[in-house]
Amino acid sequence: MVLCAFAVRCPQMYGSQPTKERILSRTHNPLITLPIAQRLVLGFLIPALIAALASSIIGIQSMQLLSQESAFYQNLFQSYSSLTTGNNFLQLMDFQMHTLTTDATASNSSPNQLATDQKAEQGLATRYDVLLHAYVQRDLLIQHPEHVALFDQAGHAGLAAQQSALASSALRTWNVYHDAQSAVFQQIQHGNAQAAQAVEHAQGELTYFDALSALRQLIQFDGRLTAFVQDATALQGRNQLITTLVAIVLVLLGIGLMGGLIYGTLVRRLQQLQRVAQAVQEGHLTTRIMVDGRDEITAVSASVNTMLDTMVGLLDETRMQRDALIQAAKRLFSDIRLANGSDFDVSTAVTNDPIGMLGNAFHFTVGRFRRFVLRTQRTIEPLEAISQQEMELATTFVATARHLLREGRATSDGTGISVQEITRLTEGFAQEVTMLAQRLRGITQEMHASLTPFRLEVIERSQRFTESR
Amino acid sequence: MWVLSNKLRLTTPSQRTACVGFAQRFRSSTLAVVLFTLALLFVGCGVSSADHGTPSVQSTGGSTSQHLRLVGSTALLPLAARAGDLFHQQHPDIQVNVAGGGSVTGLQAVTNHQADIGDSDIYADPVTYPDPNLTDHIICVVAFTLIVDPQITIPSLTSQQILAIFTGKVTNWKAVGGPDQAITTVIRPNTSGTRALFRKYILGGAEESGKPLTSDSSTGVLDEVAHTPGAIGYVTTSLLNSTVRAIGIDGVSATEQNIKNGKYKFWGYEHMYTLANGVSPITSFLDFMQTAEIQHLAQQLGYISVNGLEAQASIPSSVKEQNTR
Repeated sequence: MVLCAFAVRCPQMYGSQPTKERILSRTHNPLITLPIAQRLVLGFLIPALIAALASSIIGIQSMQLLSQESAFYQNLFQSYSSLTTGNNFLQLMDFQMHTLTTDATASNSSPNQLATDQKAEQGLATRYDVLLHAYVQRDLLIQHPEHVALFDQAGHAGLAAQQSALASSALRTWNVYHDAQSAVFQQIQHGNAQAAQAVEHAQGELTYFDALSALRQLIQFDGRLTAFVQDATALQGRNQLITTLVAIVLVLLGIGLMGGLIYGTLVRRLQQLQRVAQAVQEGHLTTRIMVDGRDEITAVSASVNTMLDTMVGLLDETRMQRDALIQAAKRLFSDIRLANGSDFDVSTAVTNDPIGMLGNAFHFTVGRFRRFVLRTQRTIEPLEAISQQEMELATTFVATARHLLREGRATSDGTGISVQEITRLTEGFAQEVTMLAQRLRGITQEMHASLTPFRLEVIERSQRFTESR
Repeated sequence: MWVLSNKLRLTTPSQRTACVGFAQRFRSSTLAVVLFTLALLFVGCGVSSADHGTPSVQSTGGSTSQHLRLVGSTALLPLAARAGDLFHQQHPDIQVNVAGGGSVTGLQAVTNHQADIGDSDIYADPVTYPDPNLTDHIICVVAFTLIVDPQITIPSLTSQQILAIFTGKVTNWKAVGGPDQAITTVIRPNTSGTRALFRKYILGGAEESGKPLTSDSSTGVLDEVAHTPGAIGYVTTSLLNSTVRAIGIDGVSATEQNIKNGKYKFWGYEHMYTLANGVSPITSFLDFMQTAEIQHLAQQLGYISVNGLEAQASIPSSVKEQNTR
């Protein structure tokens, strides 16, 4: 029954012999050479490394930005302070020039006082000159390419050139003013106090205001740089945001990539395994899994393939046994046909296989039955003879009794009653014996009748078994 | 075998359901992550674009006029006018009106809010223009040169000779090695920055005297000198043409090289002064003036790019040399 049910569920297997195995293949992935645990670790490790790298880059950028910002503000504060000090120097120089020319034109001016005034003026000029040149050499934006790049990124590309132009302007106006101071000094040294005062008024004042204006514009420009720094900082912040977003995207891509790879190396292969199982369930016993890689799923796939091979082998063996059983049944049926009628001598080959043993059992059963029938026949035959003999005797007895009775009625008198009585009793006895004999005959006929259908039923069962195969 | 087949048959739908559910969850989570990332990018770009959005076009005085008014130096006028046209081409909604009148006029106009930008050859005197918001934007360097009647063939004049001529102490070219021709000086009015520079850098602060002709503009000076025998005047080198003849000062001609190495003194910065800093049209125009396009145009017009002064500003040796004098 099991074989029949399986044959119904798997018609393909019995329709044709499996000549070629179907292998569900897939794209080769080098990751499947790694164990699943290592693969999962790799899948989580790479995105984590990307995230760590992105965080490090963002952190370094933030640190560099803060460092640049701090350095810039420190530099700007120093330069702003020095320029403000220079502004004070300029104002003091102008005041000192007025004092010098006033002292020079005074009637009671002394050479020592003029020398002191001139020395103070030159001291201020020297300090301002050093301060301004130090600024030009050290504090200009062009001396700090990193700051220039920062402003360029913020869209203020012309700041460095503008600052340099303003610094150059401050230098030039200072030089012209310094030339005017020198001219005043020369006039005072030559004793031309009035000429010195005229030069100071005509040239000194003009060039002083130019120098002062140029310096203040430079200070004002440096003050405006703070706003530009804020723009640059905001831009850096946006860049960091973009970097963060790019890092997030990269991490997500990394996670997605690794997830896809792991999906391909785990879930997809498990799905493939499931498809193979489903195909086998539907009767495609030739379907196999492509065994690739060296991981756990590979081992399971190989085991499934081996199991399927074993299953197919068992099915083949079962099919062969079934065929042999059918052949043996046919042979047994032909042997039984020979046993039709009264011949119960079955010539079945005696073998050790199940069919042979079944034949031997059948032979043994038929032999026992044959002996039973023969013994019954031997029992029935005397019964028939006895019953026949008893019936004949009874008939004879009844005829004799009837004869005696007819003779007794004609000749006897009083004694004739007792004879009649005896006759009546004998006739009753004879009837009972007759009835007994008839019952024995009925039993005999019934036994004959029962043996004949038994032989027919054995033959019909054998025929039905053969037809069902 | 039959049991195994049954097991497979029974477990297949649940496996399929699990796989489909996983795939759906995977797609859903992936979609959510992608949408979240796009949203972040969109927000980031939005923040960025908001910060770099089109600047509002406003002018001074709280009005919504999209006119830029430039007044001042006639020496800077050629460059300012060309730059204004180019700026208008790039920003059609902004009209740029450029006018002359002289540097002092420009400074007064911008400090009186009559102009958005005051063009000037000279510095804004902190005493005369004390507004702390008055901001200097150096556009370029302009070189000036002495021009004479083409009939005057001397190549150069010394500073002393120039001072003598413009203060009326020398009235004939013969006294300075030229022909026997009366000298006619042509000067600019007191509002001229060119005249102020000439006084400061060439005349040593001295006032012109004698009987000079006064012309309201640099081009006027050019015409006067070209059509006046024995005339001498000063104009920006950008206006030079064949009708006049340029001569050197102390043997040095007005070249960019001589200006950068400090040998030539008669030059000045061209300033654009503003009061409204950070206002979009003005700032945009000033930034436009600093672009390579305009700086290149300035060089084509005879100006010297402001970028060429970086070396001079960063090399103090020549200054130190001058300071030692």
